[in-house]
Amino acid sequence: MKPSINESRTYKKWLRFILAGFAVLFLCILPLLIRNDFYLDGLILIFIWGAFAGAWNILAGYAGMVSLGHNTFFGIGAYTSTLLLLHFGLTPWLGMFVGGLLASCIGLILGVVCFRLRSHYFALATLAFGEVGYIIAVNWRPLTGGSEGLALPIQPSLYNFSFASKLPYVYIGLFFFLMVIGISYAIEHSRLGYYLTAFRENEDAARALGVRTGKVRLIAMGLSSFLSAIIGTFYAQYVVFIDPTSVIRIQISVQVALFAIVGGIGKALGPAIGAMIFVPITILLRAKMGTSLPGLHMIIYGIILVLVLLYMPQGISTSLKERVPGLKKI
Amino acid sequence: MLEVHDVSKWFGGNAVLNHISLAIEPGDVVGLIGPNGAGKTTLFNVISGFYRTKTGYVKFDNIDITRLNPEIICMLGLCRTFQITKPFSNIPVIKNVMIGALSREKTLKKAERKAEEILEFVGLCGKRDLLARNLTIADRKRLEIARGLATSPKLFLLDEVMAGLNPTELQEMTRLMRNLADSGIALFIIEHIMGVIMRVSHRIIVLNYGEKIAEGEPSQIVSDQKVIKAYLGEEYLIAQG
Repeated sequence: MKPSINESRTYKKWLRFILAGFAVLFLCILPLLIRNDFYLDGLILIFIWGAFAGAWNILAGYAGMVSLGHNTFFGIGAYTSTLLLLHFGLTPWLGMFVGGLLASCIGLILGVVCFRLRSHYFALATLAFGEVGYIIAVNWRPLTGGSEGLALPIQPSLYNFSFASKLPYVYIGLFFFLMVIGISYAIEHSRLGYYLTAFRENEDAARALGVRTGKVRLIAMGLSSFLSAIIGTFYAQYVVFIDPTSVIRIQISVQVALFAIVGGIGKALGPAIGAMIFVPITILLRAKMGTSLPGLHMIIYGIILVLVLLYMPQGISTSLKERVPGLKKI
Repeated sequence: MLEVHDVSKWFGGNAVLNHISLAIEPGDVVGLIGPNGAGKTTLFNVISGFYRTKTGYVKFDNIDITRLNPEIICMLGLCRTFQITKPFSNIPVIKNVMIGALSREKTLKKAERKAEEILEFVGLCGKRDLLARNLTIADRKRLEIARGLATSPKLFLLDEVMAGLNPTELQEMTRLMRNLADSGIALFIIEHIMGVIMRVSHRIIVLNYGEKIAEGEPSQIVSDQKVIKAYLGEEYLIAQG
């Protein structure tokens, strides 16, 4: 072992640590400086979609199992906590975990059922799963209220997970956002991450090396669906009104996949970067062009996607790291 | 340590393995030869748990592994390489080997240290941080061996690690095989390059159309009429003088 390699690695580690510290500090102070509800709303949405894309990335990025059914997990989270609050007065802080556990149970069942499916076939099976979730939400009217949706009570209190100003939401959102990035980073630097990567790259080779691929795959599935559902609850608490179109339609899955792929799939920061790029574009275009050119943001999405896939096929975060000389050291 | 008893495998109506039995003892270096399609790789697949035999059993260290999955068999200390190399293409060489090492090591740090030692042993040290997909064929074969070694096997099945190498690479690989054999790991080797396998193995088993047609020391095998007819060819004898 050469000491120089070791030294540069410790140096890198510290540099990363310090930069991450600054980034977190910046994100903590930023909301206090903004003081404008429109921009705060944007920030919250970045956190929500960034965290959700990160949760999706645990399964799709590390394990290589691209799911198009994550809208159902998001919806399960949103509906479970909301229904428990409306019917039983259970605080969403607990309802969030009930939803998370329910989603991961269903995720595990889906994982077992789709055990033999790989790549596109897995994506297709989950697409069907996502569509089924939407259809159930629309048609199970007595429970979900169908297309009319459910309105959450607006009684600001900590117990109700409901606040009068946007600031608490910003910080809770920031917490979830950082939590998902942290979990992703921890997975990347753990045995689980190595095993998931091995499974993604070549299942036979992984098994020949003693990797219990069935088990690690289910862990990724359970974790990813759990986190997606938690973010779903937070979304419901923030927008105070949920209906199938806003929390469980299939486009949500596509959108989340898009954020993660453009940002950098299989990297802890990739999905977050994707959300930081797309969410502001969406909000600004909707605000400025919403009446004259509705749907313009979808065209812009498409253009960005095509450009990124052409010139940065591994996503923006990976490509920037490779191309910008200073970033290589980090 | 390995006991294969009466193993058969059919693909549809074709018997690819027909009642094969063999045994390997600790420290053995056994060659497995035979023409293309003789069932060599299929036998490896049955032993390592990727295929199930229809008859008989496979025992490793007196444990019946006939119906165990590859990942469990690996943990018991029986590892294999793949003829068509299967690198984890998009990650660095070192991480490829670490994944193997993690089967025994508790922490990533220890796994990394072990992986580094093994890269040194197989001569891939300088390519530590290259993505596996950028390796040459020879280096991919080495990586296969390195990853397998990292799982600390007691018995190592090597499936044609010499195929496609140039003469220099062949020499290096032969040296590597010798070092492996000297380290006390039992080896079971599929190979087509007779010069190498004759020198390295203690014992050779010959398959033809799914049947074991001969078994013995290299010197016996080269003069066995059945083997000459099925595999080596008359020219081999003439060439050997």
